[in-house]
Amino acid sequence: MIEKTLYYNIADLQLEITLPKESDLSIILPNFQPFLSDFISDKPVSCRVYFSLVDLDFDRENSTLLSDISIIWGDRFTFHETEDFYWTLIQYGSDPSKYWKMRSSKDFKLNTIYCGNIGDKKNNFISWYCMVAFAQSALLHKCILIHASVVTNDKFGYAFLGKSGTGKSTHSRLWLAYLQGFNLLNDDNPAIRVTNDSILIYGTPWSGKTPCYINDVRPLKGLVRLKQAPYNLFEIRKNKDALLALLPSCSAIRWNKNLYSTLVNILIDIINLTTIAELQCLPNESAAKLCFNELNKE
Amino acid sequence: MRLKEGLTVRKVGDDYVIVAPEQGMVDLSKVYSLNETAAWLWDELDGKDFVVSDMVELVRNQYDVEDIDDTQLIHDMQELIEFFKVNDLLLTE
Repeated sequence: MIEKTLYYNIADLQLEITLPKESDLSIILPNFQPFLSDFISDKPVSCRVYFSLVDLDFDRENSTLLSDISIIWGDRFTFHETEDFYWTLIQYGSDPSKYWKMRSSKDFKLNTIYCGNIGDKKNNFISWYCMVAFAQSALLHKCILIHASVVTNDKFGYAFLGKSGTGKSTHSRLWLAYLQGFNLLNDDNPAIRVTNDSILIYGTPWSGKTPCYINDVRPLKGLVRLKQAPYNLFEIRKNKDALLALLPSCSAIRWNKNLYSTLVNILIDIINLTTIAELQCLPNESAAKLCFNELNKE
Repeated sequence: MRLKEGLTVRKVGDDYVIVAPEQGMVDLSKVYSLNETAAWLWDELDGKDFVVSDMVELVRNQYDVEDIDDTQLIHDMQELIEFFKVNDLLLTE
């Protein structure tokens, strides 16, 4: 097979993808296109993804099933561990014995994906596999993917967390409608990176149902967990309560002590360096203005 | 007895917490709060076999508790052990 290798610069980390030369990732992964980059020698390659045209030999007998719960894939998803690898399987088509597979090293730095013929259309499986691999491997570079909707003005990024259906996207749209100079950065899975004494929030190729794949970055002003209520009330969360506000929106695999522990340490850094709050709110203009004003109080 | 392995006490702002990731299929991961003394004791006891009197001795050596008698200290330590037990933070034989 003649191959090519492409680099994507996401959160100032490089994702390396190697695939058959004839495959066109601008069609298969259009959401990655704004992140396409030349190889940058002084930025770490945090994650490598290799596309195999040959099926991967998964030894089910000697594997442990860790999870079969996925909101996105339902019954089609299973996650397994063998001695040297994690395996993320998605059943495809109607034949229950046929799987697309991703085999990942225990730090998710090296990943091999088999998904038959990669094809020539947009492929959400591949995008999702890359997200899983990137998210876990990024932890070792003090970077997390977090389930959030993010708006930016020219100075800062503001991230809204909450359970599915809480109204994260709705709240972002209220900021765009009623506050000056705001744009949507990402609507589902932005990256947050802790550098020397500062916290940056980045757009990524993964934005849920909203096609908003923006390669941009801002210092993070605050993370606000939203809860629906018949009134608007903003409260700062500190200490343990801040951790409890962030933890449910993050997704380190909890079976890997090293990765999970790294996630918790990053969250503690974030708590120490930025504002964490909870907003009980209505979906209205004054909720957006209250949130903005409280986060910008000195 | 022995503390469950692989759990670390962390300081988050003013609080001491243990984050216990759930190992089963359904994510029931938990965050426990400890006070400063319990957090210090956790670090001391981690990875060792211990009994109540070991805990009392550790506390006597570390903290200024001369005016607290053994009965009270033993009672406090037993309460802490009960907290560990109820929250599945002790290694089961």
